[in-house]
Amino acid sequence: MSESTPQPANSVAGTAARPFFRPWTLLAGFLLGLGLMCWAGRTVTQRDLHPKDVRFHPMIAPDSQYEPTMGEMRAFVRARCRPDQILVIVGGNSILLGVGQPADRVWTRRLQEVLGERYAVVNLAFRGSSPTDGGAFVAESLRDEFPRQIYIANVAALQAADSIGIESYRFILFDAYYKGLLLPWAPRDQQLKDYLADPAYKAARFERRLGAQADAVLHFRDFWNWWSATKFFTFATPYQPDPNLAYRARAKFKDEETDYDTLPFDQRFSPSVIANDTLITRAYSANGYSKNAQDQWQLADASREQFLRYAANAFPDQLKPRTLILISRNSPYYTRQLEKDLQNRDETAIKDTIAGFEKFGYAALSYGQDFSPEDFGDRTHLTTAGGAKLAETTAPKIQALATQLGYLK
Amino acid sequence: MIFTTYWFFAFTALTLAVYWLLPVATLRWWFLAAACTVFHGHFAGPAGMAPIVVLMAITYIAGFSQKKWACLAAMILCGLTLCFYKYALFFIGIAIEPLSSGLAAQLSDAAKKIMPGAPPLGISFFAFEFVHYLFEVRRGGEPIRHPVKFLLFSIFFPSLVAGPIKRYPQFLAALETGSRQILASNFADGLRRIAIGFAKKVAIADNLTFLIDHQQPQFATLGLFDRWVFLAMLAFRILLDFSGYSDIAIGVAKLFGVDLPENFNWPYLARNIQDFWQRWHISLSSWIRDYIYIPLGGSRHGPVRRVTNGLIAFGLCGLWHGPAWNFVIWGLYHGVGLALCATYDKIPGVGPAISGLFKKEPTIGFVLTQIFVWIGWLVFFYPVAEALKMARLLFGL
Repeated sequence: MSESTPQPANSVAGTAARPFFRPWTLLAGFLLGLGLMCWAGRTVTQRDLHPKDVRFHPMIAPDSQYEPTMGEMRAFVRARCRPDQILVIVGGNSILLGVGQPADRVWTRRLQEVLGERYAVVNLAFRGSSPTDGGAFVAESLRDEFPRQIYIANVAALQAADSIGIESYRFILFDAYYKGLLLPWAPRDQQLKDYLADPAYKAARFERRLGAQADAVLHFRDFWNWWSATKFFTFATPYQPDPNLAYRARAKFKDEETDYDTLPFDQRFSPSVIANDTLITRAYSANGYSKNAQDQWQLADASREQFLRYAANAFPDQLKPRTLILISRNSPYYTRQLEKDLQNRDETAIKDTIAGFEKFGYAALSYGQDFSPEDFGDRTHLTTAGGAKLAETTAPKIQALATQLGYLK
Repeated sequence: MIFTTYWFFAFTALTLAVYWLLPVATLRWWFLAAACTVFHGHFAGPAGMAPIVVLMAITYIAGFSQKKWACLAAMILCGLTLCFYKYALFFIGIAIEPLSSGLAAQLSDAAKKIMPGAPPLGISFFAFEFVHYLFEVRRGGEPIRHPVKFLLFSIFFPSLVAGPIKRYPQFLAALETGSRQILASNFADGLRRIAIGFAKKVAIADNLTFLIDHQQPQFATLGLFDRWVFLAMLAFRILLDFSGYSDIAIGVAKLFGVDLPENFNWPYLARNIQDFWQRWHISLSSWIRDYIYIPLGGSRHGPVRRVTNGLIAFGLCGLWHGPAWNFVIWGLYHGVGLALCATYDKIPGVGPAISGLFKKEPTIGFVLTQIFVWIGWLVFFYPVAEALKMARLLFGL
């Protein structure tokens, strides 16, 4: 530290170099560059960024901090469905994503085979997502472009979802909502309003909303996703399987979902997994049920009302009839060990769930009743054989729904 | 990081548009002051804003009065406020805890009840700028009489988050000149600096952070070359991260026609430690020099006082970065480095020879300086024991 060499505060600024560009040229360049990137963002969403993929596998999903945009997912659908086909969008969680089934044997491929050329099945399910997340918003946004559409998602018994989806996938709602792609739906609007106004997160959520509103005009997320998918990933995250691949373009990653058929039983059903999943299976329908005077399982009024409220609000009324809710069962490996009484309770819960959804005009179907333990890779996810059975169970319901909705005229 | 929020972008764009649409400079100042208040309120919240508003009012009144005792009292208050909000728990831990853990716990609880969850936004910058202002006014400088100008000096939003630490005569001159007419060159320079800042911060520093976090747990198993690569990543991460912030702040200020002081000037080209501190975080190092080192006596009372003053100044400089021992030790490490740098040529026999060698081969000084500075970052980022272990491993020990 020297007193003899005082450092004027602006000493560096004072040594101005001759500018390489004239100011107006540089300014115009900035504005032109911004304009071009916005235009590029708008344009790239017209292309399918994932032509080789059959689903949003972890390297092109939020699992690895890649957040697909509405534009990207809509292009994914457009590239897989001709206007003369009936669009079948599969949403829901990892079960319908096909976790445990490799890309070439994923259940939605089998569903496509069973349904035939008249239909186009597009898998937009994500791990842990609810029926009202990504795929649901994409389907809703394409309601005019593909008016003959069926949306499929899955839940467990008496499980329903908020109309604004779950936190991990709410970026998709924001993207769709602020780009004006969704139908007006008062319960959803109110839920979103309440979500944004929550005092504990108000600033962070306002920030998120502002980002979505800015993106609706500037399309920067579409631009960066195109760049990240096709050129190189622009920031490293701890979620890549190998740090050396951190910057690799996401489109270059293959769909390497685990194949449960190749994993030995012992690895999928370790003692700790069995212990944990047994507890979960026993609790499948525990909430809200008690025995009535006739010794039958009965759902408490409060639980029923809560479920029905969710079901009523989850989707806009005009979309409910084209929505097929699949009610997932647990693997018989676990359910067969349950006491008869608990098995009855589960069946009652499944029936109540189907009735609840049908009351509001949804189609609903349970699956897994006739599945064997080999059809499940773990408690809930299916093997290739289980996936094929799911496809064969679901296809007739889809065809019936298509007939009922007048799609086959 | 506030600069990477959409709110910041939207706020800046809107404020900038209205600012330049207003017909005269005076109106622009009023509007900018109001906008800066909104900005501060948004990010600091009422609990974070209240102590700053009180300090600001006291500083303004003390400066306005031009009474030496008032300025001194206000400076002390600024220092105490900073100590309370940022260092109270640290001081209780080091001073009271060894004597009485019960009393320390009571004091900690009492302090936590009064304090907001986090120190008020920018408290260090406010305290340093107010102390600078009061010090200069006390020394005979002209106070800022116009309350709006004082408000702008205090909470000018581009520099509120991470500096640079402003000096009021330069700031006011820049504001008066720059706010009078809209210049394409200001816009072009500002946008260029903002773009550079974001590229440094987001494209490079954040990616280096990922690589550093990934490699640090395996540091001991890395090869010798990779350990030095790791150290280089650490050094460039902090440079690019911090200078990226400064570039954005300077660039945004430039859009409003205001020149902020530079904070960095190619510090990794420094040829000695003294040179490094004239290039690194310039606004802080010059503040420390002007308001701690020189008032303590600087180099005016012989080599022992000079070294002592340097150590005090740099110990405080380290502490400014955060209430933790590793920051203090990092500051003292640089204080020792500066003392060596200032005195080695006076060591009988070898001193002149080493000095001659450095003059003949300046690259040696450059390399030694960078090794010294870069190894110092280990102490800055990691607990002292871990940093020492990593430093040993760098030399294969």
